[in-house]
Amino acid sequence: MKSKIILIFLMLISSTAWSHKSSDSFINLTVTNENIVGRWDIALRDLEYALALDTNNDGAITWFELRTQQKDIEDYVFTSLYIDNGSTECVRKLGQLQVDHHSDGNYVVLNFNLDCFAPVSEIGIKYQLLFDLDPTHRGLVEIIKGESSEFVVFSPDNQYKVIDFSKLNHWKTFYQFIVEGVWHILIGYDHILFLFCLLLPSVVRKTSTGWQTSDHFTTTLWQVGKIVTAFTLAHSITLVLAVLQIVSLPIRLIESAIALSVMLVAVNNLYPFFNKQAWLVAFSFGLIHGFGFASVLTDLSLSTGKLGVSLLGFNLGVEIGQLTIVSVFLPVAFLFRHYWFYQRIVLFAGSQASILLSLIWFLQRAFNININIISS
Amino acid sequence: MNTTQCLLLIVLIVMVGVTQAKPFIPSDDQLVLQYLPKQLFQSKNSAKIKLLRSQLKTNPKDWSSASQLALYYIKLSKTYADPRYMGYAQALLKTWWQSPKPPLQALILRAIIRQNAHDFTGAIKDLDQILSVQSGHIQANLIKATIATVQGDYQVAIQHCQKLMRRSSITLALACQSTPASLSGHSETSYQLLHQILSIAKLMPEKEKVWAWTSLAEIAWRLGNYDAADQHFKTAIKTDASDNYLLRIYADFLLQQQRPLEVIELIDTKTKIDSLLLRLALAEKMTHSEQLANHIVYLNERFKVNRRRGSSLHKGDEARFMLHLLNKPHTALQLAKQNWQLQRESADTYILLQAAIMAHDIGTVKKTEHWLAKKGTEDVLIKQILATQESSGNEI
Repeated sequence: MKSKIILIFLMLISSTAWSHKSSDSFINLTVTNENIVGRWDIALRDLEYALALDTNNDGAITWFELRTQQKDIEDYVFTSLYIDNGSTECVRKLGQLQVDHHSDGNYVVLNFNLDCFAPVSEIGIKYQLLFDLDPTHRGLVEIIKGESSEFVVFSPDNQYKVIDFSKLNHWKTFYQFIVEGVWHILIGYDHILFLFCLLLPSVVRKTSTGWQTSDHFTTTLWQVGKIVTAFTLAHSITLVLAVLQIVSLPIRLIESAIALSVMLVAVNNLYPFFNKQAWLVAFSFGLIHGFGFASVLTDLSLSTGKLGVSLLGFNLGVEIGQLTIVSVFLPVAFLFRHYWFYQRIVLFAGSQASILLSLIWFLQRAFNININIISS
Repeated sequence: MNTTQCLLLIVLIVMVGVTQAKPFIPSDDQLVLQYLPKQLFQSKNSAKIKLLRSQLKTNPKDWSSASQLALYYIKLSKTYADPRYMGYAQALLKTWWQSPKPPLQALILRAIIRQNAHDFTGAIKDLDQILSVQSGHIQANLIKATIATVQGDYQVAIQHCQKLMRRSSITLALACQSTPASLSGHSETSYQLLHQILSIAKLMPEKEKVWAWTSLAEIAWRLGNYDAADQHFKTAIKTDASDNYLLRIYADFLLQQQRPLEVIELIDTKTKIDSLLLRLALAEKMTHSEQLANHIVYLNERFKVNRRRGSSLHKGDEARFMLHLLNKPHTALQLAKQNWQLQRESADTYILLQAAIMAHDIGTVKKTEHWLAKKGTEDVLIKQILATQESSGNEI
């Protein structure tokens, strides 16, 4: 007996390779004025456990078995779904029974219409299907009204939910992506370094006649403004192009080019060779950095499907992050522009260090050489 | 995958998302809509299940019926790798779990259910409760050793395996110990010992044999003895070709050995199981199969649903999917990191390192390397991953 128990346990404890999807049902509710059009997909295997659909016990559920038990199925499932308009329960009219193929087998599709008597501005849903038989079951409900949509997961611990359409909008997604954008610029060392290298000479530059400091803060501000705007404009353009899949470049190429851009700007601080205006440099390299942002954004956003909102939010977040950095850097730099420390250490040695760092990044990214140093 | 293919694939995924909803009314009454697991309707089982269920209906507090039925569903869940049956068992046992002093058997069953839901903390709590009453409890020690191994606490695992020596067979205790010992600096010894045991213990029960041969194969693989590993995997498959864990690991081995055709042959009809389908898709990528695009769309759908329901059960596989099939290193790394917080088996470490390398997160690579060194883990594959750090060709 003992060995038999062990046998069973060996099988039970071996590492889990879950494979099948857990039990879920899917409800789609489309709200139009006073009515709600509903569609509910429930796995046949789940209904089998609750209702024993396989009446002839041959291990297969046929369409005949399903359609002849339509009434039982509807009675059973609709006792565990309750929908109201905030105060009064909506009245249900059942439609045609259908079948749909899901990735883990066939599901019965229950179509229904709800009459909620008054224009629906709020909807209350109570969902309890199968919770008594399978606490791991979840109800995945999507509610659509016009442009806005809300997604709710029902579980034994979360059986009731009120959705207020007047509060429902894209702001949540928008806000999330602003945060993502700020976060990405703040942890993206290469973007920050590029910006710094570009801004370092805005308050003092080396010319053939020695160090030349800028006299007026407003002039400096104007110049920096041009640089930042150009950079922003450029990376916004490529960000949009890349996210919309109009232009697509290999990530390795982009990341290497970003490292290269830092290097070139830093070299330019020591040995000026860009004859053009600084804003033009910012613009051209900004195009490359935009692709870098895009690789992060597409990673993030494909799951939400709200590409437009997320794009705008992310870009705005990047700008907020950028402006924060500039507004901290600029006054300090302007204050110390006459000092030896700023000219020699910050500008000169800083640019040298940036060259070295970006060279390392470039080697890592372009040739996959592993150099053990800070990496972005 | 080149850029054009990638673009096509994304278009395809979007299109499927749009056109997926196409319910229909079958025209044939006899059309089979769903086959049920064989074990459920075979006359011998189905009669017994019916009986137990009806007994429970009349007397919901009938422990004997509830525990038998729950154990049956847990086994079914493992056989078909279908988590819904774990849910059934969980519901059946609810009454006893709420009592202040649940029977030991109820605690064991809950520990298994929790372990399988990756609620390791909860499972350990149950096991500790059992061990405080019976420190030599075989099943509790075995499960605790398994969890400790998965989480990388090899010394704890070994301690619990050793407790089995006194109460059960020596072979079981040694087989239990071989994996954690091999991962903490004793690969060669563990391999020799387990190999010897397997060559003597002819009477070993089948399930135990499959488990032991699979463990042996994995140790050989980590040691870089590919021929031996391949042989051991084959022996295990000869013993039981339906063991899902075995199939998954062997497929990983074949992928790493650049033998995609054998993966396709091995998985064949078992595409219903997501983790196996993922391996199939990885093999199809190597052979440039036309099936690949379809399978990627399908897997994408499944991972999406799992994500929406907040499931953490598939993050390791999802990370591999993101890295190797969708070419999204940042997302892959995020998933692999979350997964590694929970479990640290070899495959979890591989994907973490690969994603970190591809996403240029050298900090994570270093941290993981440090952890492996501290544990004394020897693994040829990890060395390879770290050495090459190439952008392609290492698709485990």
